[in-house]
Amino acid sequence: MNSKFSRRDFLKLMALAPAALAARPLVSALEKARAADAPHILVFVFDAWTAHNLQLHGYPRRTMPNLERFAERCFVYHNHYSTGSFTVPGTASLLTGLYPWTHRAVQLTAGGVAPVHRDHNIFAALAGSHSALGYSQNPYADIFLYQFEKYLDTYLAEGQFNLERRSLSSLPIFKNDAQIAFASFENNIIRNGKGTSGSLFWGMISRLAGLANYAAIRKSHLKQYPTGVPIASGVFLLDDLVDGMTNAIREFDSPTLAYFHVFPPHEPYAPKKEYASLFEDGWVPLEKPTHPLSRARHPWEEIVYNRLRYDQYLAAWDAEFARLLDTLETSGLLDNSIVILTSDHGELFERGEIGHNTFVLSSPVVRVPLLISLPGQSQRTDVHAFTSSVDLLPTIASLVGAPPPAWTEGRLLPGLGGEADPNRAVYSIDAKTASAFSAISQFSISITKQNHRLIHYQYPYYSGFEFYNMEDDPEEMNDLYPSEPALAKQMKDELLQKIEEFNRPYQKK
Amino acid sequence: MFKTIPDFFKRRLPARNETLLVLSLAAFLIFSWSLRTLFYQVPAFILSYNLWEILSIAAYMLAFALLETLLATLFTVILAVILPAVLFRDGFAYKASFALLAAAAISIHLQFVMTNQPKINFLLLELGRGFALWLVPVLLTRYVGFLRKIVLDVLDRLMIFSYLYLPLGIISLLVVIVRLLW
Repeated sequence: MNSKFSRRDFLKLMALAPAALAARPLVSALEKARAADAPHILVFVFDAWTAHNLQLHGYPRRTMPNLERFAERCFVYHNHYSTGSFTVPGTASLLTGLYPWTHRAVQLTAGGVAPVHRDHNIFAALAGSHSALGYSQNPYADIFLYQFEKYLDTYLAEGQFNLERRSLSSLPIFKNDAQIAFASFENNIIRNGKGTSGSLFWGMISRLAGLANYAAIRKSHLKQYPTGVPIASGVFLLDDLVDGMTNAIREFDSPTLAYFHVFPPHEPYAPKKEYASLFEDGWVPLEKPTHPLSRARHPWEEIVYNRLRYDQYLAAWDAEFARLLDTLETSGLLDNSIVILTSDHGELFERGEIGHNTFVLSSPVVRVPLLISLPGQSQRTDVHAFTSSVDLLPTIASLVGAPPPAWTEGRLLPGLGGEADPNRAVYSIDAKTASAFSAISQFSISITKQNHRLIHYQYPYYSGFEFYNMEDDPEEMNDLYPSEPALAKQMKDELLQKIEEFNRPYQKK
Repeated sequence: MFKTIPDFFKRRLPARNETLLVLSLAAFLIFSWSLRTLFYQVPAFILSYNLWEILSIAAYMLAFALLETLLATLFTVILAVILPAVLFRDGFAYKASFALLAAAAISIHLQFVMTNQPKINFLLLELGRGFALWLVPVLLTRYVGFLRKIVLDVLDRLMIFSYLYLPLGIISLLVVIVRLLW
């Protein structure tokens, strides 16, 4: 065949090249035009939002009444688990539909998903039918938006709605090299949080300037935020954040998939004045023993105090976010939008731990809310089956008529094309000390199925199993591992097999 | 006036060989600290970045260190220009060097101990410590002859590091520019 292909044929073929190049965006535009009546897809990810502190899921405090109102027109998933216990793996799974051991973004300083998965993301999956908008207020989630930027029609910088923009790596000059610039500046040269900066002088000057600026902003907003102003990579106000997102949504002129990853209710918990004295009701949460893996070992009083602040912050954020939902409703956008509310991971106020920077994999740090409202939906549907954050991507694709991508490890969510399957195993993993390039040997991992949850800790200084009946004991107080050997062994075998399976490609021959 | 301003600077600028000694010390301090931080972070980086990416991060750090070195030296030169000569320009090599050393010591100390809400008294105390850290060795060097000789000899020998660090910084800066353009 090659011998018949002459120089003249080659030149003719080359003449077609410009037409072929021009056709690609044309085909894409035609596809989008064809899908012009497709609904918008609005994904709102609230960072560090645990399902455990919502009355919707049985919490005694009514932390988010407006959300409850919105839930009356949603599919409410009561047993939804994030794949990871902190932003990097949790967000990567939301965006790729892959488990952390597959996308490999498992470390605190991960530079993104493995190169082989760079085209495996929600924006790529819907590129034919929807324009894409990406915004993350959390720089560690923003990394993935940089990585998937070629699929984004609109990218909003992480400091877009902040009062100050302090991250050097988000400057336009670093646009072509954002991931490495982020790793260099934010994780190394100028660290504004804990730890030493790589820059001997500028690191300290920047930190002092940041603190002085924060103090000034805090002072000027003291009446509004008596316990401190919300801060992500820079200081922001809840009102500005909601207004910014609302304005961005108003500008949609074609079916759009919008991913908004916002910082609240991530710490520091900063409720507005009206909410800063809520829930001082004398209610005391169930005290749980300090976990052997707890590094912080916070005193119980401190844990209770932080939980209270978190609940107040939830209430403040709920009131603010309700403005956006109201705007969607009054403008009629809700009738033409799929609205999804979820989180990248939860938050822990127990067993000696506060927050999510922990190896402890108790349910509150991975069980997150998931609410999905379909266009024009007016009834609430409660789903109690165990579901995973990897399920979101195939479900979204399916809802807009696109085939669920072959590469996703998720399933269609029950009620939205999928069936509840009690035998389905849902996994969560924390492997922040593992390498992206080799077998994962140190981890906290859990498998959840048949109303039971088995947690396996594997570290040089601590290892073991915990086993809970989530229906009878949702607070995970009664470890059944010693007393129910049959079911525990069955789930343990399945979990160990899964670990062996995902580590197999990395085992040394 | 246009003639007098350059003349003013020419008269006030410290001697070139002394400025080079200060530049060398600045490079030694800033690049060494930068490399120390990089090596401290490498165990975390190898978990999620490949070799080329880690080298790129190193390039960013060293390019930034080069700019910081130049700025720190420029800052001492400006001090020499604007302060009375007896305070800073006379004996510029050791006075500016001790200023950089004191600032580095305070910066490192603050990085380890500073909380997110430092009190103004705490910062003033640090400033006082920094001034003392500068003043005492400057007075000793000024009035103890053999000490001055030792200090200047050490500064002279530190020059060797700048032969390594400064070209490394320039190469790194070029690498960063190339990465940003392509």
